[in-house]
Amino acid sequence: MEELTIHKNIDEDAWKNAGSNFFYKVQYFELVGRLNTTTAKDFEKEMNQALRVSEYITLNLSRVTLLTSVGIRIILKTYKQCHVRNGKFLLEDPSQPVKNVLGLSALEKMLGEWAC
Amino acid sequence: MGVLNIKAVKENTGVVLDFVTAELENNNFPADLHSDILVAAEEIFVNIASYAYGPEPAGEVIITSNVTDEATFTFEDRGKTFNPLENVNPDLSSPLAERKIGGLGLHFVKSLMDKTEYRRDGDKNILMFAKAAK
Repeated sequence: MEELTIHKNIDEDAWKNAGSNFFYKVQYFELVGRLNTTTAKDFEKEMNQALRVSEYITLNLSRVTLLTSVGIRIILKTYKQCHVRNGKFLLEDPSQPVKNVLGLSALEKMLGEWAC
Repeated sequence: MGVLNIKAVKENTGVVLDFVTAELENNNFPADLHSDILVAAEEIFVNIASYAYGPEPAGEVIITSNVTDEATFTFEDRGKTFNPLENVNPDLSSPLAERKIGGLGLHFVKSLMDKTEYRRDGDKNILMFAKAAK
């Protein structure tokens, strides 16, 4: 049974200057495996912990082999949390299975550029 | 042709996906289509686990596969009458910050599969989806 591994990539974390010397810390996560019913709880826990650190989050999805609606729900929930706190949330480099599902969900706006 | 008889609880989702994967691999179904079929299988199974039988006790689901140049999976339960393919209208247009999430899973099934069918046969709900090898 395939699971989900969540790499918190500290090296990719970065303080970024949003202008006017306002710096924010981007937390960078790489997901590997399935983001679905069997792994959703762990992913949701990780996102809740991340939101306690900052509201600037990037998820690299290049090695996600399966994304289902329960994963979309948590991604959207995390996006909304970032948005209400004036943060930023980005999905990066989705695999083909992820692209298929994001497209059907009309969530392409989260790809490729800062989403909020 | 394969058959899996399993209790309709979300904790069994991984077993269902393993069954579907094995059926596709054993019949050399094109690998680039596996993930779409796994999405459909999970969404249907979780829907049955969530709504077919009420809180307790969970009933059974019988999943039957027929994989040739088309992959067909049929899900059969004895829960209350329910056609999950009706009234699938997810919110895809409002701004992300206001977006509601309901209905996406079954929207995936209808969009990713080439065929979907539901029928009630006696006390059974029978739901079928199929995807052709390209």
